[in-house]
Amino acid sequence: MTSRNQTEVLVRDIARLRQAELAGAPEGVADVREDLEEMVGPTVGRASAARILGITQTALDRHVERGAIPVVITPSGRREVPLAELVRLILDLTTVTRSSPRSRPLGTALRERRERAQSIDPQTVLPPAPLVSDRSTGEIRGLAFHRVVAARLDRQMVVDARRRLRRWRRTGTIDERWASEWEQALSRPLAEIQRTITTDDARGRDLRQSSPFAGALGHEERQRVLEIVAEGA
Amino acid sequence: MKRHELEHLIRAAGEIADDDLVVIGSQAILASHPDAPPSLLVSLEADIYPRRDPAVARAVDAAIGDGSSFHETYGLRPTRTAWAPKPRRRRLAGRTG
Repeated sequence: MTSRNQTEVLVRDIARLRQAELAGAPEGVADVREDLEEMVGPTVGRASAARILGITQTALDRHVERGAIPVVITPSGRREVPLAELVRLILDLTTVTRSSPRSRPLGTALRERRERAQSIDPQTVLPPAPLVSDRSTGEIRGLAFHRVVAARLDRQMVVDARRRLRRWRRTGTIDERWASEWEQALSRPLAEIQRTITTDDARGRDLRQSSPFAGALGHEERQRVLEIVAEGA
Repeated sequence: MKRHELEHLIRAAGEIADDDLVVIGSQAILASHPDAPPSLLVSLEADIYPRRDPAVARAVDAAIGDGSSFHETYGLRPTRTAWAPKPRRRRLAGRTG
C-alpha cells in the first residue's frame, strides 16, 4: 500500500472509530483513534482530502475558496485540511447519505452546516449590553464562543475537551498552571462547567484564553459567532 | 512557544495579511533570543499585528484566532492583532525570512 493510500485508509478508520465513540463505544476506542491520528498527523493534503470526500481537488479548492471547508498553513507552508475537520466532514457526509442518497452529498452536508450556523441566535451569543462596551473584542468573542458551547454542552463535548487538554499537555502546548485549572473545571458536573466557561470574572477570562473547547464549534458556526460579535460590537 | 512555533504562526498570519507583521509582548524575545529560558516561553499565544494595514487584523483573527481550526490543530494562536500605539514603534527590531 502506498503511503498516500495508507493515509486515506487511516482517515476513514479514524472517522469510523469517531462514529463509534459518538454512539457510546467504550473509552478504549478513543485511545485507538488517537493513536491512528498520531500516525496521520494533524493535517491531510488537499488531494487526499478530496479523494476521501469523493470529489475532485478542483471542487475541494472551490469549497475552500468560499470558506466552506477550512485549510490551515502547515509549518512547511502548505495549505492542508485539518484532520479533525476532515473527520467531521466525513461524519456529516455519512449522515446525509444515510438519510437519503443524493447525487452531491457533500454539497448537501455543507448547506446543512451553513443553515445550522445561521440559526445561531445573536441574542443568546452576545453578552449583556453594558459588558460589550467594557471589554476588548477578543474578550467578547471568547465569551460569545463559550456561551454557544455552554448552550449545547454534553458529556461527549467534555470528554473531547479533556482529551484535547491531555494532548496539549503532552505536546507542551498549554501552560501547566492553566492545564491544572481546566482539569479541575472539567471534572465538575455539566451545570457547573457551563457556569465556569461563561462567567465574566477574571478567572473566567483567563481560563477562556487557553480553552480546550477550541474546535467544539464547527468552522461555519465559529465564523457565524465572529460575524455576530463584529456586528454587535 | 518555541522559535519554530512563532515562525509557523507568523507564516500563517502572513498568508492572510499582505503586510509586515510585528510581534510584541513576551514572545518578541524569540526574534533575537531563539534559545530563551523556558520560563519565558510558556505562552502559546503571540501578540502580532499588521504594521501598515490594521484593517486586516480582523481577517487574521477570523482565520487563525481563538477557537479556529488553526488553534485547534496546533494549539497556537495570535492574541492581539490590533494596531500598536505609536511610542512602541520606535523600538521595533526587524527580522525577515
